[in-house]
Amino acid sequence: MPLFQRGVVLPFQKGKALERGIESLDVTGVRLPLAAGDMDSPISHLAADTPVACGQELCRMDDTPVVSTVSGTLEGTVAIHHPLYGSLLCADIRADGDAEDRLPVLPEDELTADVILQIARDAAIYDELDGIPLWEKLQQWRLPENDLTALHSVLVADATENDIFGSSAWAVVMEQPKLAFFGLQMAARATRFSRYHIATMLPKRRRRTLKHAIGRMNVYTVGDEYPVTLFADRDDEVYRIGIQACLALGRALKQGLRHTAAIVTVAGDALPAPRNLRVPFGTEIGALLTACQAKSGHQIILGDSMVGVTCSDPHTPLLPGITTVLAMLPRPVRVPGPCIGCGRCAAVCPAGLLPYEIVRRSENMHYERLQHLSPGDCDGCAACSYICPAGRDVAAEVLKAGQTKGTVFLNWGEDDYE
Amino acid sequence: MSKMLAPHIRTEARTGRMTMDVLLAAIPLGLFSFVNYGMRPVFILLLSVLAAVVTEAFCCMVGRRRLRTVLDGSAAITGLLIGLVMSPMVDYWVPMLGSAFAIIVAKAPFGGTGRNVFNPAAAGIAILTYCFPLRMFTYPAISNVSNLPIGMTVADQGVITELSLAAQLQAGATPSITRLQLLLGDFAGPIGSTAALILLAFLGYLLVRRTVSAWVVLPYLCTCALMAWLFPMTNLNPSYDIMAQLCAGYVLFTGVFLLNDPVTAPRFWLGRLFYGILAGILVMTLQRIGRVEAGSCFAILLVNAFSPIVDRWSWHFCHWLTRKRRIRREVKAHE
Repeated sequence: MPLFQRGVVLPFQKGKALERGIESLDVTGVRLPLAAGDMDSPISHLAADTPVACGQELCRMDDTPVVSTVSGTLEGTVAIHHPLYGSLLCADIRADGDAEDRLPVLPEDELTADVILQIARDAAIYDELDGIPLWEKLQQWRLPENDLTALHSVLVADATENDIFGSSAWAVVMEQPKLAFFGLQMAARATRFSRYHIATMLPKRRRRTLKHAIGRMNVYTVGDEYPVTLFADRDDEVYRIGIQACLALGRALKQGLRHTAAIVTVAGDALPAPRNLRVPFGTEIGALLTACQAKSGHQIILGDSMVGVTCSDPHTPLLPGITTVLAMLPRPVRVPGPCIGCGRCAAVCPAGLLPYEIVRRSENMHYERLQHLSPGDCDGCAACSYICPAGRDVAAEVLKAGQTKGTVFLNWGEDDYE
Repeated sequence: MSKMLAPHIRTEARTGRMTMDVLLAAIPLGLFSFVNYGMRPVFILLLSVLAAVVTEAFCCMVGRRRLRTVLDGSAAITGLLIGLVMSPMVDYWVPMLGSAFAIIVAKAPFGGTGRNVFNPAAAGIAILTYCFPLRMFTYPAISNVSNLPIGMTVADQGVITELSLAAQLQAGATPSITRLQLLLGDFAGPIGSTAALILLAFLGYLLVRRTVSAWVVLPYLCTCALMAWLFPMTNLNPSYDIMAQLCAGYVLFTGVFLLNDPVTAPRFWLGRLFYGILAGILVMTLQRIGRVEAGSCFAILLVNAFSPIVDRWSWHFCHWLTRKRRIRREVKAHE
């Protein structure tokens, strides 16, 4: 144990889910988003009782095709509110068929940057880190030909998954490292970056297996501190994509499969049997938890245990951008104590801020002096809230302070002093 | 169902556990003084803690704060620390008065736990040092006493007193205490600040538990040792001189307890480093030229006043150093 420790080391509980590997789950139906925002009229060409094949394009959402993730019958459209994506217009599809729609597979030497981007778009590949379509990210980062910045740009497939429970990325690099790495190579070809690697924090033995599979130089090991730092060299510009997106790109290019399923870790302290499941997008979260025998009285969390969002409706569909679904037992309510100034929040802050001082100034309404501490640099990783021995929600306060700019309107009458 | 805010997991560390860690010091140091002086120092510690807790409860009631805050243990720490620097033959009301002063004047008016600017224990010790130097610094000779009388006062009861190590050093005398005695605390002095080995072991415990930060205490101890080496107070062997100066008065005690109070110390690592160095210089200076033999409490109060500014300036300095690199990154990202 180092005397001057920096960063948070989370107590990992991934073993149980990793041992079982990736399992598939049969679903009875899915609910797929067709359009974002409040929309009353259903999309016209999607009539009820239309048979759809797995991978068939239903419509387009911001140039990215929406593909059916199961084969079956379209039942109708419904407007829902998703805790991560807001209001969505969704299609309900009953899974009762086995038709499959595949993309044509091209030989590897025909895969130019444009072709790869086109295929990534047609295959409807979403990056699981942020739920953004992969082709949009790649197109934005793409460099002109023979650009020298390519030497300093690193495309990193992020398989770190620095959460207590989440292990889907670990499972992916353990089960299909070669296909995922092929996808990463092709993504790097699309962006014209000359450097790329898979970032992992696998334990030593598993890391050795991975290095054996894809080559020693292509694996970058990060430390087990939260949040992870992906910088090998400070001059490098790091571009992150998810390992599942790489795998999906590899599958689309080699097998012609569209990105219809996510690999999700279902875990949490309310689950006796955590698992990594391969499920089609649009599956109800409740179905996942039932498959893992969740205890009653749990709270559903979409995303990891540090920055995940609570979800009250078990019928919420699983969408791209979610790799972990947690069922947590409600923790006892703790009244946050006063800041005793242990300074741990400052020691663990990856942005090098002074969270306690930001909170103090915003509590004392010293807004004009708040901006000197640049609270806007906060990434919202919540390491400070995790480490705070007084149990305060430091990260929430800092984020709030980061959004105040110049003039602040005080909420008179809202006295939150205990 | 209520909404749970992120993060959904929390660390095991709690404020209560941190204060309990410090309160654990009462066990080894209380036992040590019990063996040396009998039950009297134990009563002194208990009454001092009791006075602090009762005063804190009173202040909570007057200030209409929740009475539960008394249970966090910070008031008990204040009382314990004041009790630990008392002479074993001090009257019982002296530490009680100090504890009450510490809570009423140095803690409650600032807003209670976590908001006080000055270390309450240091303030209590300072006022007692100022008002009752004779009672504070009259120590029973350790070799002649095994049981002090338990009555209200021990004056005029034939207890042999002895000059403490700090007083001997300040007077320019050559102490006749061996190195082993220095380490074991086998010389006349306060209840809890003579046993160097126990204090160091306890410091190690606190460091391992991460209750205190090494950024404060290591620079402090190094500065103290450096000061002692540069300005010897005896003409004996330098290594013995350094040891004697570190064991005298409250130097080690300050490093383990008073300095590490998280509320009044800076929180940023560089600020802590400066704070430790500054405190070391001041403590050793006051030890040497002060009017009383142990002036650490005044030194602590002085550096407490500088603590917020040291904290912020050191952070701004670090921030300024890394700014260039950050700006370059941001420009790159925008391109």
